[in-house]
Amino acid sequence: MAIYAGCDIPEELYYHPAHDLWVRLEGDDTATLGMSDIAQTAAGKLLYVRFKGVGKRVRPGQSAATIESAKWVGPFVVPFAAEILAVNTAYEQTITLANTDPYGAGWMVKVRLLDPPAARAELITGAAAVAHFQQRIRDNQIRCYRCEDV
Amino acid sequence: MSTANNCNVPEELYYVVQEHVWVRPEDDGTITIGMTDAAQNLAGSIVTATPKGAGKSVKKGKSSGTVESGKWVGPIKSPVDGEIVAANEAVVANPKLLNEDPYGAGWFVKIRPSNWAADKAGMVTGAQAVADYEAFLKAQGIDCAK
Amino acid sequence: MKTIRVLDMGLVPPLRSQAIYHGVAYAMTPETPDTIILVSPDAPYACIGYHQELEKEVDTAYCAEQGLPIYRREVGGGAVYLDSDQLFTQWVFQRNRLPLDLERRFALYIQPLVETYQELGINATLRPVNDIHVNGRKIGGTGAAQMGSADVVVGSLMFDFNFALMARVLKVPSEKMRDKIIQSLNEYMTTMRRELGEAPDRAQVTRAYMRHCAEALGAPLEIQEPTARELEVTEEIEARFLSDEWRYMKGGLRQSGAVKIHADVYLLEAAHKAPGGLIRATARLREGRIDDLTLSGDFTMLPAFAVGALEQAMRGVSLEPAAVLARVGEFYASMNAQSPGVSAEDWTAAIMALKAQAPQ
Repeated sequence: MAIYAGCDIPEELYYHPAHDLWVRLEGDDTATLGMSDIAQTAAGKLLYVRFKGVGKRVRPGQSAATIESAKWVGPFVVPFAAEILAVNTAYEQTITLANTDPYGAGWMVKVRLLDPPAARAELITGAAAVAHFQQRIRDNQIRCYRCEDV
Repeated sequence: MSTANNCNVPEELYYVVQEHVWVRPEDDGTITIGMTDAAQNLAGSIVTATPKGAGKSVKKGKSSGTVESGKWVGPIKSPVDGEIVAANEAVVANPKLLNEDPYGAGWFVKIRPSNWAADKAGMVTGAQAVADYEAFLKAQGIDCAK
Repeated sequence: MKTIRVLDMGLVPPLRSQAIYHGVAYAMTPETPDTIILVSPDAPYACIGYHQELEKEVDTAYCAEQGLPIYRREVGGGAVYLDSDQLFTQWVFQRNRLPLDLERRFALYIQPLVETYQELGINATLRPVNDIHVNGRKIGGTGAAQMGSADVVVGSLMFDFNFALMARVLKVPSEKMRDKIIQSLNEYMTTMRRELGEAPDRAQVTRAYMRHCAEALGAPLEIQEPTARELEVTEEIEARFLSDEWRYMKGGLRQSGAVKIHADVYLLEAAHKAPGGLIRATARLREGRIDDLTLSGDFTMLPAFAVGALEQAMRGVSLEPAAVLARVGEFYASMNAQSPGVSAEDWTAAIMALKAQAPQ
C-alpha cells in the first residue's frame, strides 16, 4: 500500500490516468469501481449520490452516478464500455461511505466489461499508477484526508 | 524604427515577448514598463487604464494593473519582482496615449526591481528582441498592419 | 497569456440563463477558450439543485399560479428564487485549468467578486470555503460542478434580492417556518442595494468585475460571441430541462433536511409526540446553538405567556440534551407554569429532535 501526502493509492488496484477512480478487476469481465482517495478529498463530504439503474449500459466516459458534496457536483465516470451489475445501496444509510472508506465500503458500482481487452488497455496499476498519482498530487498540491464517521 | 510584422519594436528596449511587455532601465535603478505596439494593436481603442499605485509591491508575472478597450480587459504583467514607484497618471486621464504612443507618453508604471540582474536574464533586447518578437507574432498570426 | 472569452449575454429568458453555461460546458472541445458568461434572467423563476426533488422543495401551486417556471440545474445546493436583479457570473473552464483543490478553486473564483464589491465600497470578504460575507451577512451563493470536459463554477453579483418571494416559493412544513425563513434571510443576507442604498449601474459593475477577473486570472478577457455549436447544445439542454423526466427526477440518496441560510446558520423543524399533545419545534441554529425557537402544537400550557417565555429562555443554549434539559428545568423552577401531559423531558425531546435534521 502506498501513501503519499495522506493519499492512499493501493498498488493492487487499477486506475485510469485521467479520472480519479479505482477499478478492482474481478474475474474475466467484471469489476468494482469507486472514488479514489484524491477524488473523495477533492469533492469533500458527500451529500447526495444518484445511481443509474442496474442493467443500464454506459459508453466510455459516461457516468454511472452523479455525486453531490457541499461544494461540488460531478459525474462518476466509467472510463470504458460497461453494463451496471450493482450499485452500492449502503449509501442510503451512510452517505459519507466514500469519504470514510473509499476503497472498501465506499465502492460505487459493480460492472460487466463489454470489451475487457479495451478496458484493460485504458488502465494503469502498481508502481506506474503510484508514480502517476504522486505527480498529480504534487502538481495540484493535494493533501488527502478522511472524514470522521458521522 | 525596427519592426516585426509591422509592429514597432524599438531595439533599445527590453521585452518579455510572450506577455507583450516592454522594459526600459532608468539611470536611477528603476525600470519603466509598458504595453508593446503589438499589444495595443490587439487590444484596440483603450478606454480605461488602471495601473496599481506607487508603494504597491508586485511579483514577476503578476499584474501591475489593467487596461480595457471596448471588448477587452487585460493585465499588464510585471516583468520583475519589485515595488511600484510611480503610476502614469497621464494614461489614467487619457487612456488613448497607450494606443498613440505606447513606448513614450503611454508608459504604464515605474518599478524599483528587487533583483534586476536575475529578472533581466529572462528578457531579450536589440536585434534578438526583434527576431524573437517577429517569430512570436508570426506564430500567433498577429500583424499590426491588419 | 491565453485570452479568456467573455460571453456577455445580457438579459435572456429564465431557461436560457440556466441552460447557457451547461451548453457551453457540454460543447467544450480542447480548442474552446476558458469562458466567463455574464447573464441575467429577464423574468423571475425558481431553480432547484441537481439532486433535489421538485415537489418536496418548491411550492409548485404558488409557482404555477404566479407563472414562475421551475428549472433544475446540474449544480448542487438548494432551491432558490432568481430574477433580473442578479447578474450570474458563470465560469466554464477546461478541466484541470482551475485548482483541483476546491477551497483554492473557490478562493480564485470569489476573489474578483469580492474585489468588485470592495471597489463599490462594500466590505465584502471571502468566507471559506465558498461564501461571500459582508459584516456577517451573506451576499449571493456559489457552486461548482463538472460537466463533460469542463469545470464549472457559478455564482452571482447581487444587485438586489426579494427575500419574501424567496421564502414564498419554497415548500415549507409550516407558515411559522416560512416566517422564520423571511426573518432569517433579512437578518443574514444582504445585497448591493441594501449596502449602498441603491443598486449600482450594471455596466459599471460588469466592467469592474471583468477587470478584477483579468487581475485574478492573470490573463486578458475579451468579449466574444458563443459559437453556433454552443447555441445548438444550449437548445438541446433547454429541451432536456423542460422534459418531465428531468423536472420530476427523483432525489438522490441523501441525509439532512435543514434549510441553510449561510455557512453557520440553519433552519430546522421537528416534532415530538408527548402524552399531552404534539410539540412542533421550529428553530434557527447558529454555530450549534439555538438562535431562535418557536414551539407550537396542540399541547396546553398555562399561563398563556409561558410558551413565549420558554422560547425566550432557550435562546443561546447549545443543542445538547443535558444543556437543553437543564435550561427547561430552570424555566419550570423560576415560573409556576402548568403543562399537563408535557414534561421537561418532552420539551427536551422535541428540541433535541431538531438535531437529527442538523448538518454536521
